[in-house]
Amino acid sequence: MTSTVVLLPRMSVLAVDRVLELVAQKASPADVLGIVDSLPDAATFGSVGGSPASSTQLGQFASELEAAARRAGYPEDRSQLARSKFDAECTRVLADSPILQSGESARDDTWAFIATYLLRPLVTWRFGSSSDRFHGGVRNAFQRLWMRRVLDRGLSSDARWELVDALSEDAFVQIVERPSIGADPVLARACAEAWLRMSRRIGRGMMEDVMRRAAILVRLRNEVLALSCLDPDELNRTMDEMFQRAARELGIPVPDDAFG
Amino acid sequence: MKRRSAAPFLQLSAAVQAGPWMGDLDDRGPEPLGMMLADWEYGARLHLSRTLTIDGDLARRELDFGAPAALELMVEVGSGPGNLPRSIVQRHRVPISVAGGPVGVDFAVPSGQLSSQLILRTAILLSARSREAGRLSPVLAGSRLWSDVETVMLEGDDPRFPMEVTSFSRMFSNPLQAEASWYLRWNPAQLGRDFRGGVRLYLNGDDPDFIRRVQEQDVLTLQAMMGDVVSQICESGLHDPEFADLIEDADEGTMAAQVDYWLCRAFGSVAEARSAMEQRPGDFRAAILGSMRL
Repeated sequence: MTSTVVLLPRMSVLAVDRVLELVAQKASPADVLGIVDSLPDAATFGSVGGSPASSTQLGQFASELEAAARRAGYPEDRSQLARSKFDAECTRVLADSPILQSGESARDDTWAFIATYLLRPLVTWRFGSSSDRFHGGVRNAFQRLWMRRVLDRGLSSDARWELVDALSEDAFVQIVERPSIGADPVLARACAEAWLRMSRRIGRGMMEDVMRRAAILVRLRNEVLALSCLDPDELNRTMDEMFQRAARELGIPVPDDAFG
Repeated sequence: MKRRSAAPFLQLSAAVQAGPWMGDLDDRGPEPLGMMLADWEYGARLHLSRTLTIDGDLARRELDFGAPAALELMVEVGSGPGNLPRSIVQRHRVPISVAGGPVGVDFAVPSGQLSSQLILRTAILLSARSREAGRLSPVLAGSRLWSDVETVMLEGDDPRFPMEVTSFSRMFSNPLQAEASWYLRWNPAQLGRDFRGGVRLYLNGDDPDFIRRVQEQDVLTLQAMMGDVVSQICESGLHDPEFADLIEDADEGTMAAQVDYWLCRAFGSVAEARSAMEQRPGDFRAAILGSMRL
C-alpha cells in the first residue's frame, strides 16, 4: 500500500532574500515572521497530492535537529570540531526522518524553508550569515547533509555511518555534490569507500588533490563504462585503480601500489 | 550540449531501432510520453514501457565482432529538478538475445519518490566480450554501446530556461531595480551546480507590454534579454581565475558547462572569448548578442 506523501512547505528565492534582508536589518522576530504573510508566495505547499505537514510533524522534525545540534555543542561551542559533529549528527537524523522520504526532499524551495524559516538559528550558528546556506541548493546548510545519505551503508551494517564520519568536506563536495556521481548511490558509495581505503594508505592530508583528480577520472570513465553495473568486487578494483592513477599523476607515492 | 568524451571503441548506431517511451497514468492505458505528464501527482500509479529492436547481424558488424557477444539493456529512472537527475530512483537490466530482436522494459515507478521531472536514460551495454573481437571492438563488460535520454516534466511549467513573472515593485526595495524589465538571480560562486537549478530569470510583471512581447516571442526582446543574461554569466566565468579548471572539472549540464558551450558557440574557444572580453569588450558583447539570434 502506498503511504501518503507528506507535503513540505516551500519558500521562494525572493522570500528567502527578504527574510535575510530583514534579519540583517535586525528586524524584530515578528517582522521576520510577518514576511510569510506579506509575500503571497512566501511559504506555500505544492498541489501535487499528499497531505500538508502538520505543525506537530514540523515541530518534531525541528526538535530532532535541534537536539542533534545540542549534542554537537550548539549553541555555546562554535569550534570546528563542534560544527563537524553537527554535520554528522544531522545527517543521521535527516536520513531517517519520515517526512523527507519522498520527492519533496528533492526540491530546493523545501530546503530553503527548512533553513530560513524553521531552523534559522542553527544555520547561523553553523555558518554565520552567508546567504547561500539558507537558499536551496547544494550549499544549503541542511540539504547538503541530506544529500550525504547516499553514503549510508544500511541498517544491516555494523558501521552504517562510517563513510559520513570519515570523509573530508572536500570529498563530500567531489562525490555527493557532483551530480554525475552523487545521484547514483552505488557509484557514490563505491567512490567513498575507495577514498577511505586510499586515505588509510597515503593519509587524509594528501587526499584533496587525489580526490579531485579521481572524481574527474570516475566521471569520464562512467561516460563509456557503466561502472554501477560492474559486480561489486570489480567496481571496487576499478575505483582503486582510478584513485591510484590519480595519485601517480600527482606524483604522490602510494604504498603497495598494485597498479603502479 | 555536446559530450566532451568519445568512446575508445566501436559503438552501435543503425543496429538499434528505439521505440518511444509509453506511459500509463492511473490505468488510463499506455500513451507515448510527451514533454509533460499532465495530471501527475505523488499518489498517481505510473507504469512505463519501451521496446527496442536490435538487428543482431548489423550489431556484430558495427562492433566488429566475429562471434556473437552478450549484450544487455539498461534503463535508469532518475528524478529531480535541473539538467541532471538529483537521484537515480530505479535501475532495470534486461539481457538481449545474441540473435538480436525486440527487447523491452515494463515497470511501475513509485510516484512518491519523484520530483519535478522524470529522466529516463536507456543504454545498451556489453555484458561479455565476443570470442572474436576486432582491434576497436569493445571488450570490457559494462561498455556503453548506445544510449539516449528522455526527460518528462512532472509538475510546474518550468521552461528550458527557468523564468518567472513577478512584481518588481514588490520584490525590490530599491526603486531603480524595480524599473528593470528583467532580473537574473544566480550566484557566480556556484558555476559548478546544475544550470536549471542555479539560475532563475524574473520578468517584471509590472510591465504588461514587456511580458506580452516575451510571450509573443518578439525576436528583438528575447535577443536583448538573453544577450544580457548570457553576457552576465559568461563574463563572470571568464573573470574567475579558476574557470579553466572548472570547465575541465564540470559535469555536463552544469552552469560552467553551459558557459563553455555559449563561449565556444560565439567565439570558437574560451581563450578567444577571454581575449575579446579583455581587449575588445564591444566585440565581445556584440558576438554574444548576435549568437542569441541564432
